[in-house]
Amino acid sequence: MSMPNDEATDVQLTHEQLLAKAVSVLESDTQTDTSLLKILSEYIVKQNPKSTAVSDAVRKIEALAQKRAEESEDAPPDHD
Amino acid sequence: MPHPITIEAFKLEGFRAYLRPQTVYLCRGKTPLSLAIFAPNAKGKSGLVDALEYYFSEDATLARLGKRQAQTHAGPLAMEHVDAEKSGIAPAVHIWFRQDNDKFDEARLVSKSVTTAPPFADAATRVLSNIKLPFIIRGYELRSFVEKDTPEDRYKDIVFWFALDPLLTIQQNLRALRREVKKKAESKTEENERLRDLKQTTKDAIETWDETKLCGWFNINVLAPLDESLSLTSLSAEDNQYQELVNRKAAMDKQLGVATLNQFTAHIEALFVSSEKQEDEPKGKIVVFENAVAAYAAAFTREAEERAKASQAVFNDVWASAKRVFEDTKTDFGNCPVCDTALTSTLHGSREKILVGLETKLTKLAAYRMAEGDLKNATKALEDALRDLIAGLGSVISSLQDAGYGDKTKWISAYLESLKSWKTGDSAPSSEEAVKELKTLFALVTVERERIEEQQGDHTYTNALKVVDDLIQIKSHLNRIHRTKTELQALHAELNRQALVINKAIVEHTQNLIGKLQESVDSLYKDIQGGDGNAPPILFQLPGEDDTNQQRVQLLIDFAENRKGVIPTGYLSDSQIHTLALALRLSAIRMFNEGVPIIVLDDVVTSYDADHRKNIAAMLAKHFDDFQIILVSHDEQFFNLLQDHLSSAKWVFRRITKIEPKFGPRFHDHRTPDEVIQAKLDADESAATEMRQAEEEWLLDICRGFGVKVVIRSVDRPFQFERSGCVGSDRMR
Repeated sequence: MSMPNDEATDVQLTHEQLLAKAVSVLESDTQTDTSLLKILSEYIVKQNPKSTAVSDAVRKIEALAQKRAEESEDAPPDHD
Repeated sequence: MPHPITIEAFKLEGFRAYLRPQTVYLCRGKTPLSLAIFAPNAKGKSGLVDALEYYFSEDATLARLGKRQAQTHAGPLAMEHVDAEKSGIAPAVHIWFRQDNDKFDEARLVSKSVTTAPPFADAATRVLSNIKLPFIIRGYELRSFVEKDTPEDRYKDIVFWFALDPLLTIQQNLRALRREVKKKAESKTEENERLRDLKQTTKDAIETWDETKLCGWFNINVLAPLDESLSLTSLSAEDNQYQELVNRKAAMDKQLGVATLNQFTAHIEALFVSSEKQEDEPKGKIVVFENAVAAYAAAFTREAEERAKASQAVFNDVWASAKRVFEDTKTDFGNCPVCDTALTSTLHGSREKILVGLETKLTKLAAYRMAEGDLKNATKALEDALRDLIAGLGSVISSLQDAGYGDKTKWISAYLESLKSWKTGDSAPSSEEAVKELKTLFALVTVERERIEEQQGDHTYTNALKVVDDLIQIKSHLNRIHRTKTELQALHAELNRQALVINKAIVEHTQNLIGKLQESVDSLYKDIQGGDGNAPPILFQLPGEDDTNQQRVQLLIDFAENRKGVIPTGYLSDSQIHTLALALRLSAIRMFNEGVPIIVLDDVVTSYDADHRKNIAAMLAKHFDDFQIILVSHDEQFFNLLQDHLSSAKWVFRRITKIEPKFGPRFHDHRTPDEVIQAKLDADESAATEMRQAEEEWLLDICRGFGVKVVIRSVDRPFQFERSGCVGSDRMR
C-alpha cells in the first residue's frame, strides 16, 4: 500500500506553526484591525489558553471599544 | 530515520481487575510480537488496554473515566484494584520498551489522589515524543462515531483522533467570544439606565432621547417661569443661551450672598473634608500637615539610627580604599597594608573576614546616606504643608468674617496661632477642636445657603442650570454608549472576519490531512467492506457568516456525483461509517506514528458481521504486518479468524479463561509455578489449592493441544455438574 508522506506539506505543521501562519495572513492584510488581532493572539489563538480566556478577551475588546468611543467624546460641562 | 520503538513487555499490578502482578510478553528475542487476546466480557481484557492508556495519560486516568471522581465520572480512583491496599500491593503499570539495541523501561504508580496525578514516566515521554496521534483505538469510540447525531459531533471526534483538540478549543473559544461580543454590542442595559435618569429629570415627561423635544420641555417648564425671553435651542454648554444661564446664576448667587457662602465652603473643604463613607480617609491641608509631621518624625528617627550605625562615617574613604586593596587577590600580604598588623592578629583574623567587615561598614554608610536624603525630603514636605495650612486657615478666617461669622472662629484662630509658633520636631498641635468648629461652620453655611435657595422657590437659575447640566450629562453618556456600541459592532464584524480566517486555516489543515490520507483510507475501506467501492470523500464545511450556530464545522461526505456534501447518516450503513472511521484512524496512525509502529485495538469488530470480521483479520495481515498490534476482543470467532490469517511467527494468541477476585484475570497458559507450591509446603502451609490449579492448568494445556474447546465450569453452583457443560469438542482440528 502506498502511503502519502510528503513532509513538506501543511499537514506536518505543528499547531503553533499553523496558528502563526493564520495570524500572519491576517497581519499582512491592511484591512485587519491589529489591536483586535493582538487581543485574539494574546488570549484565544494560542496553545493551552486559560480557562478565563474568553471573558478576559471580552473585557479587553470592551475596553478597546470604550477607548475608541472616548477618543471622540466631548468632555461633560464643568462649572461652579 | 531513527529505529522504531516497540513494546517488549508490560506488567500490571493492583491495576483495574489485575490484583497480583501479571506480565504480558511481546517479543521473541529482539523481534517484537503482536498480541491477540480473547476473553468473554468482564474478564479483564480491556484492563490490559486501560493499562497502556493509563501509562501514557497526562492526567493519569482514562478518557472514558474522566479526570476527577464525580457522579458522572469514576475518575483516577477507578484505576486501583479495590483490594490492592489491603493486600499490600503498590498499584502500578510497568512497560519495557526497545529501540534497536536500546532497552528502556519504567513503572508508573497508580494514585488514588484526584488532585495530583502520579509522575509521568520518562519512558512514556520518550515514546510520546516520537508519535503525534493516540494509538489506542477503542470500539466504543468507533460505535459512538457511527451513532453521533450531528455532523459537528463527528468533526469533533476526528479532531480528537488527529490530536487536533487544542485547535478545536481555539475554535470553540472563538465561537464563544463572537457570541459574547455580539451580546455586548446589542445590550441595552446601560442605555436603559440613562433613559431612566432622563425620565426622572424630566419628571416623567420624556422617556426617549429627542433633543428638540427636550429643549421644548426645558424652555416651557424650566426657563419660561424665570424669563420667557430665554430659550435653549440645543443641549450644549456651547449654546449662547446656556452661557446666559450661567451668568444669571452667578449674578443671582452674588445678589443673594450665595457666592460668598460658596467661597467659604470651598475654603473649608480645602482645609478638611471627611467623606460620609467610613472607608475613605479624610483629606485636606490639615491631614496633609499631620501626615507630614508623622513622616518627618519617622525619617528623623531612622536617620538617627543609621547615623549611629555609621558613627565612624569619617572613615568612609579609608574603608573604600582598603576594600580595593583587600579585593585585589593578585597581591598577597600577611600584614594589614593599612595598620601593618599581622592579619591573624586583627579583630577579624583573616583577609576574607576583613573584606566582609569592610563591605558591612560601607553598606551601613550607604543606608545612612539614604536615611539622610529621606529626612531632607520629609523636612521640605513638612515646611510646604505648614505654609499651605497657615495660608488656608488665614483664608477661612477672612472669608468667615466676610460672611458674618467672625465671632465663630475661636478654635480655628487658636489652632492658627499654635501653628505659627510650632517648631519642627515638635508634636503636631491638636486640630480636634478646630476641625469640630470647621464642621459646625460648614453645616451652618450649608443650611443658610439652602434656606436662601429655598426662598427662591423651584424656579431659580441654580435649579435651571442643574437640570440642563443633568440633561447634558445624560446626553454625553448616551453619546458615549452609542459610540461604544458602534465601536463594538465594528469590532464584532472584524472579529467575525478574523475568526473566519483562523477557522478556515484550521479546517483546511484538517481537510488537507484527510485528503492526504484518502488513498490509504480507500484501500483499507475496500479491503474491510469488500467490493470495489472507494471510501466516500470526507469534507469539512464551515456554514455561512450569518449562521446562528456561529460557524460550527460539519463533517460531510461526497456520496455520489449528484449527492455531494451530504450527511453520512442516511447514505452509508452503520458498518460503512464504522469502517470509514476505522480506516481513517489506522491510516492516520500509520502516517504520523512512524517512530512508534504500535496500534492497540480494543473490541473494534462488534459492528461487523462474520464476513467483515474476516476482512479485518485479512486487512491487518495485509497492511499492518510491520506494526506491533495489541488486539483484544470478546468475539471468539474473530479471534479464531485472526489465528487463521496472522502469522504465528509474529503473533501471540492468548485467552483469558476466568477472573479470580484474589488474583485477577487468568490466561489459558497461566502456570502456577512449582516455586509457589514449594514455598507453601516449606512454610508448613496448605498448598492444596495451588496444586489443584497446577493440575488443571496442565490438563487444559493438554486438551487445547489437541484442539479441544474447553469451557470452564461456573463456580457459583459447584455442586451441579454436567459433563457436557464442561468439555466440548466442537472445534476439533
